Amino acid sequence: MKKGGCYAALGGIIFLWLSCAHPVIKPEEDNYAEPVGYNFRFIARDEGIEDPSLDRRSYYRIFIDKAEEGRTSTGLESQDKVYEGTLSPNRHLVTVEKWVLDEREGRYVKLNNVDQPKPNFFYFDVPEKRVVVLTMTADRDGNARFTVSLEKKRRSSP
Amino acid sequence: MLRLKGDFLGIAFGACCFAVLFACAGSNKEHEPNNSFSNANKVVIGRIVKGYMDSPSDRDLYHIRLDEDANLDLRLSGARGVNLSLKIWRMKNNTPQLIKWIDDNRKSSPEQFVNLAAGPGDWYFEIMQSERDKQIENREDAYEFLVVERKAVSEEAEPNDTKDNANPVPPRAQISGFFSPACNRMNNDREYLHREEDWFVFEADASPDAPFVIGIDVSGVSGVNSVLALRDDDGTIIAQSDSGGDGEPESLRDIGLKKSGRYYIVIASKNYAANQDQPYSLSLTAHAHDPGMETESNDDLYNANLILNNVIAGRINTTADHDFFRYRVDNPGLFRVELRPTDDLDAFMSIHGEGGASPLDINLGGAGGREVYPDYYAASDFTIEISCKGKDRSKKGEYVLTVTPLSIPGAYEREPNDEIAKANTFDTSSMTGYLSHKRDKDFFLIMREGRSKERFDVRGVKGGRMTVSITDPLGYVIKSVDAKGDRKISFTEMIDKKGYLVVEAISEEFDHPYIINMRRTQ
Repeated sequence: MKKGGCYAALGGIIFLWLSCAHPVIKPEEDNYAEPVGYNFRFIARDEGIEDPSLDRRSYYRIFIDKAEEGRTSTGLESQDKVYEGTLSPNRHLVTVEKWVLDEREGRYVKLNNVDQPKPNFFYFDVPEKRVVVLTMTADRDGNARFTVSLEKKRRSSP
Repeated sequence: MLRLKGDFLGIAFGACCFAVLFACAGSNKEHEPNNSFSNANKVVIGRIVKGYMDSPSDRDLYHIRLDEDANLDLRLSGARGVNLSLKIWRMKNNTPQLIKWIDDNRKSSPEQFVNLAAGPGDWYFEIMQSERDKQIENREDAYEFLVVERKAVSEEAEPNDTKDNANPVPPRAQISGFFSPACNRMNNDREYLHREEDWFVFEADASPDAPFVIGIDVSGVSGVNSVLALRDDDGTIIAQSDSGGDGEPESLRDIGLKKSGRYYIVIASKNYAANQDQPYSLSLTAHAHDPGMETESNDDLYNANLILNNVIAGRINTTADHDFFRYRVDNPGLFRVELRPTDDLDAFMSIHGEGGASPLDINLGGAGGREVYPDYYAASDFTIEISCKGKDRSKKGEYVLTVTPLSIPGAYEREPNDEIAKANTFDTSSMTGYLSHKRDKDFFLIMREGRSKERFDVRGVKGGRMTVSITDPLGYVIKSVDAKGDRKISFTEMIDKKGYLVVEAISEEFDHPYIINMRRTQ
């Protein structure tokens, strides 16, 4: 009986220790951010730029389901340029158009079709109560790669 | 060539008349010795007297006694190889006073003088050799001297070469005179040495509140390029005109005299030109000051005329004329400034703000074309300068200047905003502006807390054309739209915290504004 009591106490201690050391695992879906102001975020950047003089100021015009919806912010090709918008939960087509700064003219000009990202479109689904993040990365030859993810909740500060 | 021929014919005709006159008049011979006032030979009006230069230093004096006023012309022929000159003396209190010294031409040439206003008394005419050529003896070729009396009506009375012996000329009167002789040896003014001048004087009854406005016109005389000046009693030049060339008139218009006193009109020729045959006509007009009319001299900022009742009429008198007008601003705001010249005037307008900033130049139209600045912003008084463009003498004329305060609801642009650094802040829902000048650019700064999608509704300028652009935060154009006429166009564009709206004129129209409305759509 005495020996049995000791085992029970030890078991309780181990249980308590395990309870404190490992957080409660929540369901996976609770980790995603819910839409606030937008539910679609497009990010574009170029990779493989080694010479800053070739890193042009640029932006992308965004067409959703073949209608112009806006544009990304402006920035260097190597930087993230972002567009945020609100889409209905459905499957959508995004098409992008790249514009670069002509410093001599003081204005942005649309890149020739041959220099536009390839492909310059992507189909994706927008679920309910989720923020879809579509990232496009393009190399120096204009080959574009699209990746889709759901925006996660931001960690609260300690 | 034709003109030379005409001149030659004129000279020949004059010489013939001269010769006929001498031939018709009876003649006497001088009686030596006549080298002094006491033994001067008597001369009879209308009778030629012949004489010789018996020695290089010979002087021949002739005397005439007048019982009443007479207007005399003096004609002295040339003598071969001799440069003659003529002095006119008047005896006053037994002392001879030199009245005039005529020495226009060189040897062998005649001398002539018209319009000597000779009063009662003893007059002497001294004929001698000029020191400008070698003085010689000539007992073979006689000179001929003739005094002619001429009826003169409303003519100058020589000598009127100085302020002290200026001829009175009443306002609204016309008087004629001659550019005779060519030079006045008694004029020792360093600036105008030996210049023959005709002085006229008039009285003005004026005050700063009630200026006396005059106009002076001098007709053109063949072969003479004249100069006209107006001086005050201190001798200071108030206004002068030298815009015409040979044979062309001179005028001073709308000269405002703000103090009572004597004023002098001085007429002279340039380059010692003379014409003994064709008189000039001088007319003086005067009227009370009209506050709606320009008053000369208003040739600088400090003498600008005040614009009352938002309108004033003026005149560019010469190509060098500059007219300044001051506009009093009671309340800060926008003002439309418009200048309408006559068809022959190619006007140039500048607006001078307070504080010595560079003037705003407006030169849109050609001859007869109006000059407009549709939206001049002023917080305090400003001055408008009108001048004439180009050097063409015909480009002068009249104009009407209008300043209209604008009443615009809501925000309006404030020029100058032609570059990013001078951009107006666009922080309201509506902005009104004007295409203010050729290739005008208006910059407006838009600031937002974050990214913002904005809708722009643009109503362009009626009759004009412009582009409206949105830029990135650095001022590089992202989107442009063409706004033709006053058709309404709309577009949306993102503002990345900061951006500029740029209006650029393609086809200017200054009578109507553009209106841009802006509202956030996302």
